[in-house]
Amino acid sequence: MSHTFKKAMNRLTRWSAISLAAGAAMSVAAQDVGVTATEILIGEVQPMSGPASLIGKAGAAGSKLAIAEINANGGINGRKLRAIYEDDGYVPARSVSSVKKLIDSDKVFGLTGTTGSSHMVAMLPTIEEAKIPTIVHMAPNPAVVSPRRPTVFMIGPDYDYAGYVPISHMVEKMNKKGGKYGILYQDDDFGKALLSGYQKAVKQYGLNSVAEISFKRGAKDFSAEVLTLKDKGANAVYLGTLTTESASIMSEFRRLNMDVTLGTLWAGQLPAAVKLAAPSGYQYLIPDYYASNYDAAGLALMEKAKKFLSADDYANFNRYTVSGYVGTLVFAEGIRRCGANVTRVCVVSELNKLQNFSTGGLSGPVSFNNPKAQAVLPIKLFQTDPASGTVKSVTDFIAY
Amino acid sequence: MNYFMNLVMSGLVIGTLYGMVAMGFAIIYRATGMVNFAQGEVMMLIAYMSYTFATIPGMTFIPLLACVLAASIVLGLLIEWAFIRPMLGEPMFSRVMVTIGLAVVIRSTVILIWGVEPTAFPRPFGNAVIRFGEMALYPGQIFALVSLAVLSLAMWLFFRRSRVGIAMRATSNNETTALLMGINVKRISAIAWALSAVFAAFSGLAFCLMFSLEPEISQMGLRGFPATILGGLDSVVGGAFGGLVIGVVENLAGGYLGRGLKEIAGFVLIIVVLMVKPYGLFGQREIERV
Amino acid sequence: MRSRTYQNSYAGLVALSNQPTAWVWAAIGVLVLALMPTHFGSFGLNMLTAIFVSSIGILGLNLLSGVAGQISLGHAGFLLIGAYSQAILTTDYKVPTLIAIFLSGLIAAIASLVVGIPSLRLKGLYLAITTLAFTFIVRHVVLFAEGITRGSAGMPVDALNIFGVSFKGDVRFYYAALALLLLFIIITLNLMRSRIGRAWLALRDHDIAARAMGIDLMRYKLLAFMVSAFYTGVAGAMVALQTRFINVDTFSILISIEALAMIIVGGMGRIHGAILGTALIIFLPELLSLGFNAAGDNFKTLMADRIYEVKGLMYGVVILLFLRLEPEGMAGIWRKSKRFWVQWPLSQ
Repeated sequence: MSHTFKKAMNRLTRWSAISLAAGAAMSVAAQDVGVTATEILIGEVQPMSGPASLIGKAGAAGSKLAIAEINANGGINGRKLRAIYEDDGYVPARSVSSVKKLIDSDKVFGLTGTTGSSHMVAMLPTIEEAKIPTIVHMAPNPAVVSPRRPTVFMIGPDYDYAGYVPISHMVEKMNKKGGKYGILYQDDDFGKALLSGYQKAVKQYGLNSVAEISFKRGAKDFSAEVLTLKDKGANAVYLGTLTTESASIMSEFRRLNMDVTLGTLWAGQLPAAVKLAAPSGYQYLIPDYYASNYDAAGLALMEKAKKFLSADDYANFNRYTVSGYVGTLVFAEGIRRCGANVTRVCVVSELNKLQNFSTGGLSGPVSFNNPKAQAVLPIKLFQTDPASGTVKSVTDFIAY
Repeated sequence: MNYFMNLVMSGLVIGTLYGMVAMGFAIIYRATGMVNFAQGEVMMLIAYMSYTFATIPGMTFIPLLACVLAASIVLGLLIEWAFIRPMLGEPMFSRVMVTIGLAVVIRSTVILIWGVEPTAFPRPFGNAVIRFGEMALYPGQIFALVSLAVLSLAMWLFFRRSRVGIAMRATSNNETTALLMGINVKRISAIAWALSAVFAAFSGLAFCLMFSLEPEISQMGLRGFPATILGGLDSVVGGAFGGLVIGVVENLAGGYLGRGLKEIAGFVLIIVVLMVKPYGLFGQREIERV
Repeated sequence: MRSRTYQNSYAGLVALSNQPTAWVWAAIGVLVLALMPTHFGSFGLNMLTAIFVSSIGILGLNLLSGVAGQISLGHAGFLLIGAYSQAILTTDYKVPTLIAIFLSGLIAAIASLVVGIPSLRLKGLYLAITTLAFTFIVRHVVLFAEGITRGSAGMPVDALNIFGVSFKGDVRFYYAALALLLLFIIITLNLMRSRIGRAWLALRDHDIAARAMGIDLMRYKLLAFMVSAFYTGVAGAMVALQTRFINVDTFSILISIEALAMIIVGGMGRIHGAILGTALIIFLPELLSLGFNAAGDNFKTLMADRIYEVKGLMYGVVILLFLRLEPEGMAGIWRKSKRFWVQWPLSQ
């Protein structure tokens, strides 16, 4: 690079720096990014297309519901809430570019939707650099809060609990301590977390674990895995699977005439999953930290959804809608506590102090005042009733 | 039944799906020399259309099957006429790319119309397990096995006995010469696509009856490739056989080796076979001239 | 009196172009790209960087499929190898990041022999499916070898750091990507007009005749795979450096298919086609978003949350339109526009 060119570039950089500083000085007097006198802009990155679109759309719908409800009640201290939703198609590279767009082009004040677990990890450097307040609720990944990022708050217990709670219940309340235990888990970090929760329960109660089988995400046919379980004589199985796989596995169990006690994770609550699994006739346990389609508080929210959301969103109401709703609700609370002077610094400090915030029965109380700023919510257990195709709750919200 | 036999049985059942998809690939390759990357998506579209037919009140199985077959033939002819025929004469790469573009379009359209939620497909034969001695099968699984057997037999007879079969081979070999010989190339192409849609219909129905109606049906297209290659890209009956083999090998790998090797067992197998037989087990060796 | 243009030095004979205008336009192009950061914010720069990085990979695929005629669906597999090599080399073996980029390319090139050797026996679509199998197997190996690759959890990647100068920011990385792309374009131009490039073209068009003319098929086929894999491995390493976190989901089979779309839409076998095709395919979702926003709020509420499927639909439709209306792709449009411009006002 020639000397004159370098000098020119240096001058350019110097002028850019000066003008930026001047701009910054001027903007301090004005509102914070994304905040005007009448409106606060927040952003969400969700998988609205692709394999996880069911989850992403529900999360976005929940957020829309919270915003509609808040705005109908006059907004937050006189300001309305507005949100921009970006689709990342469940690809981490797109999550990063979406979040950059939200932060740099759209200039949002905060983030209330952060797509999947590995996608959130990919977005972390950008989020940390921008110091933007972020609520993580759809995929509570422990890696996000260890180490603690100053502006990131997480709602939800680690996935380990999903693996631990049903097994613990089977032993303590269903008298299955002497059973032969098995687990089917997906071969990614989400599945591994379930496995570690399961193993924790096995160790704690001294159980006989006969089969720990991993499978690739997207698999449809589980005949080999189920046959392995039968061969090992498993009669208490944890299914670390999402919607349709659980139904397919249960139908294999039925075909081989296996008498098994089953537990799965919170996605098993989705109405589509319950309906698909009903013909196989198994009553399986579902842990969740949200109350959704089968609970009084959830049903009340569904009534609001009918009023504020589109017909499609209402028809697809599930526990991820509740998750989206709670995430935005908590963020809005942080904004509310800042009164008229809404800045990122203020919201972050208010959220840090949040303790026992009530979500109206949709979950346990939300508290961020702990080292990881993670609201480890208590978990409720549900059980399906295949005869009627419904789900009833078995326990209340219990902190494990 | 012992572990091994059970694994084989389940492998055969899932293999029928691979086999029917493979047959769909093979018939198009045999007639036109191209691979239809949209096979899985066509299967998905027909499956969703069948669902709409099945929810018409009073629809029992035979009328449903008839409707589905008619619809699939029309769909196959339509796709061929609208998307494939205009590309006759273009380089193979572009023609194959059209099927890829078509796959994206069909998948988006289906989700647009029917939504993403998985739904239970109506079970016309009920859901009770049928037990033959020690073996147990669902009606949907029996349907899949019977379909594959019937289709393979029909295709074997078709290519052995009918002139259209031989005409197909001529067309894929050299279109211009076939035209000079008086073969109606456009008609052959249309027939191939219609037949491929019929295979897609059966495999789509089998999938829905065994599992559920969901957007992931389109992934079956990709999963069917190893079966096609194993049997030979231009051998329809070979494709059926390849499907069964891949299904069984996958299940045995899953049952005895575990650790996720089930998914790549099929791919490893075809690489090994291709080293020995570069055109698959039953494929025709392509003779190239300078 | 001049009868034709003579070159009286060896340098003049082997120059990439002896037209001064070509060099001037190239310099202007590079200058425009270099000044982009002053106009575009982080998001725009991110997209341009993505285009540059993908172009490197697509140039490689273009050499393999467009020039040498070996259809490959294994693009995603080589990207994966390149990205993970970069991550593992810099994290576990403390290799300097710049060197690691080229080492990643090298590792991918060696891995390509796994596909290259079967390619000696296989043709056409059999080869394509084998490369697809390769992608699946690579994915599986990455998940399986947890000790090295951290399995499904993915790996964070250190930022690019050349001789102590950190290239972490968007602007700096943009320049790094631009520089690397220019380097690879020059390499490609040289390859294409060398003996190797000509041998590849012969391989594509009529390989049996080529062999009859004395071109060693085995050598050039393997070379095509290895060179293409080198490019793609480097591209994978750059993707890892850009997103700073990788896992197997970052490179799915759809990437291979998207890559093919890029070279087809761009125009097979042409360098400027490859780059234009990449730019178009990456811009396409944004263009569609702009189009939808311009269509107004009524349209948006009509579509509501179906908008994502409509976008996917439009994506496929654009590809189909290109194939149907302009089989030569963007390179063809460029060529025709150039001819129109040159022949104006007599152009037809």
